[in-house]
Amino acid sequence: MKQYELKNGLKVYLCPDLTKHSVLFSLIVQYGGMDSDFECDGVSYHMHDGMAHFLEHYVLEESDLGHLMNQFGKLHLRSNGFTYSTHTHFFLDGVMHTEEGIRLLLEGIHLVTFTEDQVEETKCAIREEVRMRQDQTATKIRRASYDQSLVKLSYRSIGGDVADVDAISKEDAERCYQAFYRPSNELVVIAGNFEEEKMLALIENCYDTLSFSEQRVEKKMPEEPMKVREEPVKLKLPTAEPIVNLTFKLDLRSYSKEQLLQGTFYFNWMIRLNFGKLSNLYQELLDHQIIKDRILIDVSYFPTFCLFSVGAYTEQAELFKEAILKTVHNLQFEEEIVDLFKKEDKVMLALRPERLDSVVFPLVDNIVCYDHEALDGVSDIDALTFSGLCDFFKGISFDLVTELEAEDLD
Amino acid sequence: MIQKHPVYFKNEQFCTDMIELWYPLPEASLFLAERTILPSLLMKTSAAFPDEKQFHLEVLRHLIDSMSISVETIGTQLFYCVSLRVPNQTILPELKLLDCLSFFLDTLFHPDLVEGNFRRFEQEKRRLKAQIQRAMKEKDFYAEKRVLEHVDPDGFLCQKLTFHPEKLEDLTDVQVMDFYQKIFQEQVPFLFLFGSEALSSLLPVLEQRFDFESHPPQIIFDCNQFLKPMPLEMIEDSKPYQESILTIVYKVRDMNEEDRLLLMVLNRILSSSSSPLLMNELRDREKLVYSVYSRSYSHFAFLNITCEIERNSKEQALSHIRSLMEELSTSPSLEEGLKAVQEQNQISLLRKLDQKYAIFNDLIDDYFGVELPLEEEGARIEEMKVEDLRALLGRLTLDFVYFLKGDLDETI
Repeated sequence: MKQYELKNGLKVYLCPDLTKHSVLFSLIVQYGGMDSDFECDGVSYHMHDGMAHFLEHYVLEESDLGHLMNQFGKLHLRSNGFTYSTHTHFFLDGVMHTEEGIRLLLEGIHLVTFTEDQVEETKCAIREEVRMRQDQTATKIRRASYDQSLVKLSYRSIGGDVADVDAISKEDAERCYQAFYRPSNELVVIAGNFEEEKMLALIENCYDTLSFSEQRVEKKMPEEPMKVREEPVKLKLPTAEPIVNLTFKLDLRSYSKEQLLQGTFYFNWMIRLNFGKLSNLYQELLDHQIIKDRILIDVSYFPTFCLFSVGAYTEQAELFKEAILKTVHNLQFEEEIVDLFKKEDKVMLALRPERLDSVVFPLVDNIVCYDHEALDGVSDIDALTFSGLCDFFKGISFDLVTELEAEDLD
Repeated sequence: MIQKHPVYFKNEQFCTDMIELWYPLPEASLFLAERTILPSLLMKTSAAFPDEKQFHLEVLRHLIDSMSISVETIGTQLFYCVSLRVPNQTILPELKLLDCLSFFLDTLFHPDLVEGNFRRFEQEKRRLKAQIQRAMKEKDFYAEKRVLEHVDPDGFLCQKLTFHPEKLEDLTDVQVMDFYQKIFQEQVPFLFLFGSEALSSLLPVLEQRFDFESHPPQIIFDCNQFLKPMPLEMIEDSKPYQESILTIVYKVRDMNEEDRLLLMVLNRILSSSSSPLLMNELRDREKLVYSVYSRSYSHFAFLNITCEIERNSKEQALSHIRSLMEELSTSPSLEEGLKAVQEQNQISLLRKLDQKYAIFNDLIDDYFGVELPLEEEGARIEEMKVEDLRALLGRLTLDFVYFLKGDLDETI
């Protein structure tokens, strides 16, 4: 991989692979669902949930160059946009017409005018999308556990609720767009079959035709206290069996970004060893018919803490909760299995070149979330150790916990 | 088709080697519960590793990327596809390919039994029962089930355990064992290998194991079950969701084998990225939906269009979809759409070269001869005329409309 920084501050990462026939082009705007608070030229702003997601739709559908997705389709390029909690990811995937598509994407999302009518029109599909997502059980449970666990942060979901979407104004949308859709806040990652110099020249050339206003922008996430709302919550939703969910708020303030990046591996191993099919807990819960299949895990990472949820479909809520609490307070690690995980992770690294998205998406995560401008390599896996795993979790308390139970709406 | 087995496709472009054993299954309406439960009884433990944890550790120790059994459909013939995927020795020289194969075959042919039956039968039965009950509470799944129940009440598309959960209640471990013997012990599979040169070293072992020479695998396909149009019906349910689901089903009168490709192309004209007619109409122009898509069932002679909408938009969405379909035959969009699909097809052939599953599946399709391999499909689409599509549209009949009304007000 080669990396460049253009004069305008844009960072470009090139991962050529001439054995491939296609090119995967990604533009990352470092503005995500969680970035509700920011300061622009010394003025503080707070936005409702859903603004980054709204802008993802707006720039693709209402660009001055037209409906970009339809134009990509006419060029037979696969394209989409995804809004994550930390960033927005636009991608193109094609074997022909890729240069034309890249030019259209880079210019299209930076040539955008905001009008009241277009803002209102864009909201229509988003409201449908929000309602669709809110019909999903996992979305409802995550939303409720955020309500219990997040005391000061107002963030609840990437797309926001229908009321959040309704509340988006043309002025706010324009303000956020101008603050974040600028080269110094963007990355470009390209993988696949392309000529490096030509690609770099194309990107530079596209940005040279664009102009951006000067602004000093800083994201300002409110400091979240290590507290939770302790009252258990009961939800009613369509479900064949009762659901129980415990969410632990884990303090990660003492960890550096490098340690947190290692922590993503350690979390994965900890979960597999203590809650997955390799765990004693899983087998015991199955044998005692407390659960009928797997334990449900959900981890949401925030800059200084994470929410770690453990749940299941079960008729025996109390026994399940008791078993989970006992497990988190006595996490088990087996060195022989950890060695096997390391080996498996190295194999996964070796398999990455098979798919361009297996190169691009992990790289973007590393850069955006951990300031690590490289893909994980064999030496990174080698640096992970059994004692490192044990130490990582020794420093984490599982005492802050919230409880949620859901039963059938009918 | 009979060809010497195993069928080895050498391809050194990717990092993995794959072995697939395809076992034909009996007619879809038979052994429904047995067919559904058996994969989970075979791929979590074995006689040598009856403990699930020890079994998975063994998978890790062998550096196996994945081992699974899935039910695949070719035409209207069901198969178990038992597959093993391992990194190839170029990227992982320490991998012991023969050991992986032995572990894989041992898992399949020496399952975890007690007194001649599957030890974990009751546990898997409970799990399956719970999964079916949970699926019935999922909006998309429920709506799709209701549509298929109506379009093909006793036919192939409803031969899933989720449509007949009562069959699980009466299932016994003896029945499952009989089924296992019938499928895996009494049949010789179609065997496909895809990957590096090293795979060829397994050929003598596999030939010896399965004795293909004396018992070549054979099958006669029953490819199509074309359904007949019925008088138009409107069906409505309601459930506690915020969004509603609208599905419109069109059947083709007097469908024949040649029409299958036309129906698939019509589907792509309606909702592919190169020709998103439905999205353009319902999302971009009318602002009614987040997504709308069509799906063709070419072996069954129907196509459906589905969208999720706000409950009060039903009539509007229905009216726009009906108009689009009625006017498509005379609209320039049809010709433009066909041209877009023809161009897209050439690009798909190039794109396929980067995708190991697309290449492997295409080779298997070519082998069985029921579905057209991509290149041949492309050649035929290239020759397709807009008049052929118009003729098909003339025989397309609105069969029924299904509406799952979400009657829940916003709760979040």
